[in-house]
Amino acid sequence: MPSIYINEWPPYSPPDQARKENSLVAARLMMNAALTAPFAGGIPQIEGHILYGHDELEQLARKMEELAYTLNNERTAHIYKYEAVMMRESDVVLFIGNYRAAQSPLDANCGLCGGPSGCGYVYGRRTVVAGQIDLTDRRCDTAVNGPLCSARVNDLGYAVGSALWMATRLMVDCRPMMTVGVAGQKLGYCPNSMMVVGLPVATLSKNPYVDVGTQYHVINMGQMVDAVRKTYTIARQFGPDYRKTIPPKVEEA
Amino acid sequence: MALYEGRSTAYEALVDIAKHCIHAVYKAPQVTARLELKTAIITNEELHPVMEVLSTLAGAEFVMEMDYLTYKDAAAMGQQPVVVAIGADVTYSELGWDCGACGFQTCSEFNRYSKENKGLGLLGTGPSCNWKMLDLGIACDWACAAAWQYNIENRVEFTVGAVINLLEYLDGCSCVLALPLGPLTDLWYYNRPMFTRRFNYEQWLSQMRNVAPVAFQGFSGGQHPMIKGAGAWWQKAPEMVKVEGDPQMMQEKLDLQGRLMQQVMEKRQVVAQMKEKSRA
Repeated sequence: MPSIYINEWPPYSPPDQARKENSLVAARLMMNAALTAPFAGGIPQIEGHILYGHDELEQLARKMEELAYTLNNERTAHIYKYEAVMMRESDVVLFIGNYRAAQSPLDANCGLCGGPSGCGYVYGRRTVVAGQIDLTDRRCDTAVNGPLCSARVNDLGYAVGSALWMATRLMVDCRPMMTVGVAGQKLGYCPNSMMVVGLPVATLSKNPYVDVGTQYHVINMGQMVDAVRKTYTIARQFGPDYRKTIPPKVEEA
Repeated sequence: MALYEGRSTAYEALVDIAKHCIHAVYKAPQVTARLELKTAIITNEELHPVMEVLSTLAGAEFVMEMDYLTYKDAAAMGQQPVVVAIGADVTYSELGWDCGACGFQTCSEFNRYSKENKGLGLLGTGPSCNWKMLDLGIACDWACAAAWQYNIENRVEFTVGAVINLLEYLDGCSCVLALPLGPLTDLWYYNRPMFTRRFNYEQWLSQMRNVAPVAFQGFSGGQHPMIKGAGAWWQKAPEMVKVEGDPQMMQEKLDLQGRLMQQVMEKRQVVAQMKEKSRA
């Protein structure tokens, strides 16, 4: 049996990669928990996607940073930027989407989506052909392509809740995030869902999703470490030839 | 040290489990971080107004009958469920995310529409901010998971939650979900023992033909396909698929709505008195 050495530092080193692989197992189990959540009528409607690896998470983070500017919303811009930093610190990201929320409403006329107009609220705002919602036109200039069946969205909440419950039981850090879900959906993850929630997972000594300072997108662990590398390198410029002398203490001088 | 009868003593502790479920509701992570959740525990005779309205609905809606009978039969054996009600007002968004999930370009457009068009569908109130609706789902799921962790039979219900909302047990909620806890048994809300001997074979098949007709459909080349039935359908006069309105059923639904609203108005007063008493 080979030994497995685990240490979260330095990031993406073999000891850190061994830790990340454990987080990947947790994310897989979270997805199974999501699939067993209670849904209205037990109807299958949930899909999941697991994102793992440095390049994949970096691509996600950059998409979130792009959305911070292209969505032109000052209430969400900083959230996209701050949470992009968290993606770079995450081990793995689980996306959970509901593939029926936009395309096949519950059709119970429950009223959650639009009140008295019932399901007509959704059907009346979508392209409807032959009694079906035609979603082949996926163009969307907002974060989410709505409207959606709110009963299905409520069911998506159950799926996300069960994934989160599993995360807490496995003692991995995880938070549900709108920004991550929107960026993931636009990148093509959970390809059949218009509403997707992102669940980043991390197993670090410091939970990367809480205790976040202001201007976090420019002042964070990655930036701080880089600042050390930058300033200390400058300080090295004054070093003497260590082979010829050790600088004498004051009393010896 | 006293000697306790196990089942009845454990049944009394369901209220404590309900409190743990509510701990989970408020601890559940939220996407919006802004959803104001409201909760209540409904037990004993405080649940009777809900049961009475459910019995009215049970006469007209099969799904309501299923849920009503689970409560009625549990009460008959002295194990009436302890109900955790979880609700929130999701018809307003102060998020300012302008995400479009509701179908409007901005939250302010949604809020304007909601203010003028808010109201009841079949049993639910809309329109809804979908991120808040998602958070409500997460919270309810955590309540379910908490009950499950204590090995308590439970099933989250929109139907019973809607009745609780109609009767205004919780103030200012647009959506309420009900989580019944108990009776102390396995598989009460699934496999539904009260339905096990309810229908004979022909009745089950008849139901399946109504709800899944495509499974019984014959050759469709003639445009009006025959639909197969139970037993030797080929020895009987053929029945054909035909889509048409059902004015009698619609009238029955309208009548039910009238009776329902009258009953709801009466029971709301009873519930209001209960709430007043609990505050005193």
